[in-house]
Amino acid sequence: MNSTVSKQPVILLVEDNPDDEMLARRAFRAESRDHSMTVARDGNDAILCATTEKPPALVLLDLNLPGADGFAVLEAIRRHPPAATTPVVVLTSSADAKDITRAYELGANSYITKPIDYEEFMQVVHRLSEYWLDLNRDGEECADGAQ
Amino acid sequence: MTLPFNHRSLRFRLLLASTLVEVVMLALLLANTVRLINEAMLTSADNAVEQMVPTLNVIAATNLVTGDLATLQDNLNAIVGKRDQGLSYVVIDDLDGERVLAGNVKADALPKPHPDLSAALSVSILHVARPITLGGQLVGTMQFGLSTAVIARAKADLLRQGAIIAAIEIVLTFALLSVVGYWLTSHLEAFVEGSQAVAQGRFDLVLPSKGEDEVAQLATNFNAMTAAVRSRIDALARSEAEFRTLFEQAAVGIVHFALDHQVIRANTKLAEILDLTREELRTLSWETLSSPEDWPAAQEACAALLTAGKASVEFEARWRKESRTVTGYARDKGGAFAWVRVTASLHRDANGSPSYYIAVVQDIAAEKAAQAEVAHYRQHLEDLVDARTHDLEAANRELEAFSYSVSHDLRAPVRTIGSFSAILKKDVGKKLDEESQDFLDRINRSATRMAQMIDALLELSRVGRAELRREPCDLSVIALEMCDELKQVRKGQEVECVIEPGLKTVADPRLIALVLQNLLGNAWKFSSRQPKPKIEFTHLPKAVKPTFLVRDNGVGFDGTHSGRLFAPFQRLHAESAFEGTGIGLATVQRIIQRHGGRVWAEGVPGKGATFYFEIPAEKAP
Repeated sequence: MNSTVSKQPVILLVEDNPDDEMLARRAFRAESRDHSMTVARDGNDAILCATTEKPPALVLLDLNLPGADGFAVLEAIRRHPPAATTPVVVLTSSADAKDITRAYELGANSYITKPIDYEEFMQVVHRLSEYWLDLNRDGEECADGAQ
Repeated sequence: MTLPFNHRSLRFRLLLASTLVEVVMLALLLANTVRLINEAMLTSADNAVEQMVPTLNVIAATNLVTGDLATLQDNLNAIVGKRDQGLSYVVIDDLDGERVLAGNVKADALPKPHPDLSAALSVSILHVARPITLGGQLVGTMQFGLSTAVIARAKADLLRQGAIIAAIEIVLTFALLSVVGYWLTSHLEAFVEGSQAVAQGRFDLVLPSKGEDEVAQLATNFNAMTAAVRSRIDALARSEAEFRTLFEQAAVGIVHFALDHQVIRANTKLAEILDLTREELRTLSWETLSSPEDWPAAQEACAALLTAGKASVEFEARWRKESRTVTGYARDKGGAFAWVRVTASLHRDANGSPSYYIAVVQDIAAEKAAQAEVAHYRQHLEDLVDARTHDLEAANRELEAFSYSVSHDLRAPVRTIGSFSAILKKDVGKKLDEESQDFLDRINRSATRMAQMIDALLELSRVGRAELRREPCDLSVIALEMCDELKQVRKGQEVECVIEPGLKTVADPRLIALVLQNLLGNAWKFSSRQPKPKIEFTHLPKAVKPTFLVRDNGVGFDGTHSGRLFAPFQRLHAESAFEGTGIGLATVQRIIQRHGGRVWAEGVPGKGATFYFEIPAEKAP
C-alpha cells in the first residue's frame, strides 16, 4: 500500500490490468488535477486501502479482480463506517445487467462500463473528476483540518 | 272324467234338486186333488142325503099317518133294494115308537147317526137321522145308512191314476233332466278337463266349439285364451332361451349380483377371465371378487346406481383371479388379479324396485399391459429427453458462459490496443510520416471494429441467458421510436418510414426492442442508398400465429442464401459496402426463438428484402 498523507484528495484505483491502470493514470493526468492516486491490484489489497481511518476521496473499482472480487470490496467499504459515504464508481468491462443491479444494491454510487474508445474514456474521467472529486473536497479538507 | 252320480257333481245336484221340486209339486198337486175329491164327495153325499130325505119323507109320512106300516115296509124294501142309490138300510120310527126297518140293520143295534155329513169321508156307511113331517106336523123320525163306497171307489181311482201320472212325470222329468244335465255338464267337463290341462301346463287341448250357443262361445273364448297363453309362454321360453344363449355365449363376462353383492349367476366367459368355475363363482360376492383397493370404487358405483339413479357406471378394477391349481381361494395369500373394465347397471322389477346388479366385465389385461408398456416407453423417452435437454442446457450455458467470458476478456486487450494507438496518435501523430499515421488509423479502426463485434457477441450471449419477462408491448410505438432515433443518428439519409399503428404482442419489451432495432436498422442501412428509400413495419394477415414483418426497398439479397443470414458473422454483402458486426440477425433469431417463434426472410437482389418474425401468444413448450 502506498498511502500518502497530503492535502490532495486520494483516488483509490482498484485495477489488476496494468494497461488499464496506465490508461487511467494518463487520463487523470490529462485532467491536470493534482490528485495522488493509490492503486490496489487485487481485492484484498483494495479492502486494506479503503477501510482505513481516512478513506480515499474516490474509489474507482473494477469488478473482475484476483482475490476478493469487486463486489466483496464494495461490501467491505460500505461496512466500514468512515468509508460509508465514500464515493465508489464501478469502472468495469462488464455491461451485464445483473452486475449493474448487484453493484447498485451493494452501495455503488455509479456504474460505468469501460469505453473502448479512448476519447470517450477521457470524457468519463473528466466527468468523474468534476462531479465526484469536487463534491467530496470539502469533506476531505475538513478531515485534514481535524488532523 | 267324473262319475254320473258323484254326489258332489253338478249334474247330480241338479238332478236331485229338480226331482225334489218335482216331488213337492206333485205332492201339492195330489193334496189339492184329494181336497177337491173330498169336497166333491161331501157335495155328492149331501146331494144323496138331500135327495133321499124327501123321498123317504114322502114314502113314510102318509103311511105313518095312516098307520099302514106294512105298506111302508114294502116301500122301504123296494128302495133299499135298489143298489144304485147306495142305501144300506132305512129305519122309520113313528111317534108311538113303532119301528119299521129295512136293509142291512138290526133293530136293537141301531148305529148312532153321524152329527154331520163330513163323516162321509171317513166311514163306509154314513148314518143320517131326520124328522119326518107332513104338512108341517112331525109324524116320525127316520134314520138311514148311505153307502159311501161308490164315492170312495171314485176317490181311490182318482188317486191311483194321479199317482201313476205323477210317477210317469217324475220318471220323464228325471230322464229329461238327466239328458239336459248330461248335455250341459258334459261341456263343463270338457272345460274342467281343459282347464286342468292348462293348469298342468299342457296347452295342446282344443275344446270343441260347434254351434253358436253360449257354450260354443265359451269354448271359442277358452280356446283363444289358451292359444294366447301358449303363444306368450312360447315367446317367453324363446326369449329366455335367447337370453340364456346371450348370457352364456357372450364374448364378455356377465355376472349378476344380488343387492347384498352376492353372486347370483355368472357366465362362462367370466369364469374363463377369472380362471374359476361357475360353481366357485357362485360362492363369491362382489366384495370378495374385488381387490381391496378397488372395492370402494365398486361401492361408489352401487350407490350411484341405487340412489343417484344413474343408468350405468363404468370403471376399471382388479378382480381376483385364482388358478384352480391353487387349493381354495387364497384371498389373503395375495393371489393374482385380472384387470377388468366393469360396466355396472341395476335391474329393477316391474314396480321399479331394485332387484339385482348386472355387471358386464371386459378383460382388459392386454390393454393394461399395452398401457403399461406405452407408459414405460413414454417414461423412458421422457427421461431420455430430460437427460438430453439437461445436457443441452448445460452445454448451452457452458457455451454462453464461455462466449461471455471470452468476449469479456477479449475486450481488455482490444481496448488497450485502441486506447494506446489513440494516445500515440494524439501525442506523436504529427511527428510521424503520412504512412505511419495511416497505420495508426488502421490499428485504431480495427480495434474499434473488433470492440463492436465483441459487444455484439456479448449482446447475443446476454440475449441467450437473460430471463424472459413477458408483458404486453406496443410494437408500433417501439418501431416509431426506433425510426426517430435512426433519423437522429443518420442525419442526411431521408428514409420514408411507414408503420402500421396498433401492432401489439406479449413479449420481453427490452428484447423485442432489440429485434426491431436490428431489423429497422438493417432496413435503413440497406435502403438508404436507394433513390426513394422506404421501410415498412406491418403485420402478415391470415397468419396462424401473429406474424410481423419489416420490409425495405433496398439492395435486397439472393433468396438462395437466406438461410445463412441468421448465422453469426455471416454476411451477404461486402463489409466495405455495408458496415455491421454480422451478429445482429443472429441476435434477432435468438430472441424470437426464445419467445417460441421463428424468423425468416425473403429477398430479391435490387428489389428489397422482407424480414418476418412470429411471436406466438404463449411460448411454445
